[in-house]
Amino acid sequence: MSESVRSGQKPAIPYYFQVTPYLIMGMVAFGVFLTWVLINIVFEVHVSERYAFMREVHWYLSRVGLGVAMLMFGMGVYIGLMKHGDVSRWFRAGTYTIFAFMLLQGALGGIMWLMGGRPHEEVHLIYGYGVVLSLPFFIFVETTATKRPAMGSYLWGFGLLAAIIIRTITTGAPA
Amino acid sequence: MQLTVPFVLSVISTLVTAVFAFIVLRRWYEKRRPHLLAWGIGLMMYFFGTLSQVVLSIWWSPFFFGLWYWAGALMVAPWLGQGTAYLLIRRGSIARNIQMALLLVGIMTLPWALFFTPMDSSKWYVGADMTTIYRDIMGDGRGVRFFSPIMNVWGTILLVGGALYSARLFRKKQIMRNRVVGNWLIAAGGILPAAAGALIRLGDPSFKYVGEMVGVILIFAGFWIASNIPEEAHIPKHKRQPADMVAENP
Repeated sequence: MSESVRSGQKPAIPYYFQVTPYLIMGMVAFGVFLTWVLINIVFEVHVSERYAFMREVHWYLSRVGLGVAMLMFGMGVYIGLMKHGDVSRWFRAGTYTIFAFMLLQGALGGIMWLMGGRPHEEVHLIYGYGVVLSLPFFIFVETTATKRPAMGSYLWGFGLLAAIIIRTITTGAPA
Repeated sequence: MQLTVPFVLSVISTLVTAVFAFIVLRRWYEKRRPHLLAWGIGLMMYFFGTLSQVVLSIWWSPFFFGLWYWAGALMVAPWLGQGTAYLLIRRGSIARNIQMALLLVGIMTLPWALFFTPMDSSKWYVGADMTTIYRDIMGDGRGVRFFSPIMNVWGTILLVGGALYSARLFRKKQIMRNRVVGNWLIAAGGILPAAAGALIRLGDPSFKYVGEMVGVILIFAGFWIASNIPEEAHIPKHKRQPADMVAENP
C-alpha cells in the first residue's frame, strides 16, 4: 500500500517534486471544477446571481471539505497507526488536491467579502485562512521528514483541518 | 506619572528578557539547534509582552494591548515548552508537528487579538494595572481568550515537566550536576508565571508582576548554569577504581 523510504534516507526525488498519475488525476479534477466555477462566474451577467452562485459553491465546499478531511484522517489512522505504513503516493496526491480545493474555498470567501458580503461573525475570516494554511504546514513537515513512516503529520493536518472547518461553518452564513 | 511597582517590575522584566532572548538566539545562530530557536521565540514573546505592559502603563494603544495579550497570555508558555519538546521528544516528527500546530494557532490568533477583539478603551487610565482591567477592556470571555488556558497549560506542562524530568534523569545517573541544578531553576522559573496567570484567571492579580520577573530571572539562571558552568563528571561509587577510593580516603 505504501512505497516506503527507509528512515534516515532521502527519496531519489524530493516528495514535493514527485509527479505521479494520482497527482495528475487530482489536478485534472480540480481543474475541471475550477473551470466550471469560473465559467459560471464570468458569464453570469447579474452581480447578485454571481454572488449567489459563489455563496452556494462556498457552502457546499465547506461541508464536502469537512467530510473529506474526516475521511482522510480515518484513512491516515488506518494506514499509519494500524498498518504502520508510510504515506503512499495516492494519499499524498489526495492531500495536495484537497489543499487546492481549500485554496479555492478561501479565494471564493475573499472575493465575496470584497463584493460586500459579510459572514455571521467576523472571526470567520480568521478560521478561513486557518483552513487554507493548515495542510501546507504539515505537508512541509511530512515531505522533509527523514524519519519514516511520517503519516503522523497528516493526522495532525487533517485533524486540525476538520476542527477549523467546523468553526468556520458555525461562524459563517446565518441560518 | 508615578513609578508604580508593576511599572518598575515590568521594566526590569523587559530588560532581562531582552538580554536573555539575545543570548539564546545568538546561540541558535551559531549552533542551529531547533530547541534554541523555539526558546528564542518564546523569550521574544516574553519580551514583547513585558514591553507592551510598560507601554500600556503610560499610553493607551489597542495595538499594544492586543500584542500584550497575544504574546504574553498565548505565546510565551507554548514556545518555551516547544524548546523542551525538541530536546526530549525525539521520536519521529512529533516535535516538528507540534511546532506547526503552534505556528498555525499563533498565525490565527495574532490578527484576532489585534483587529477582531473589541476593546473598550474607556476602562484604561495612566498607571493602570492591566491584569485588573483587561477583562473590562476585552468584554466577555468568548473569542481569543478561549485559547489562553489551553496554550498555557500545554506549555507549562512541557517546560516545567520537561525540566523536572531532565533534572531527575541527570541526578539518577549522577552526572552533570550543573544540569540538575539548572533544570530545577528552570522548573521553578516556569511555575511562577504560570501560577501567577492562574491566579489572575481566578481573580487575584497581585502576584503577576513579581511572578513574571522572578520567573524569567530563575529561568535565565537555570539556562546559564546548565549550559555555561563546566560539567563536573561524578563517577558513581560502584564504578570507581580502587585508586579513586584511596585518593578520596588517604
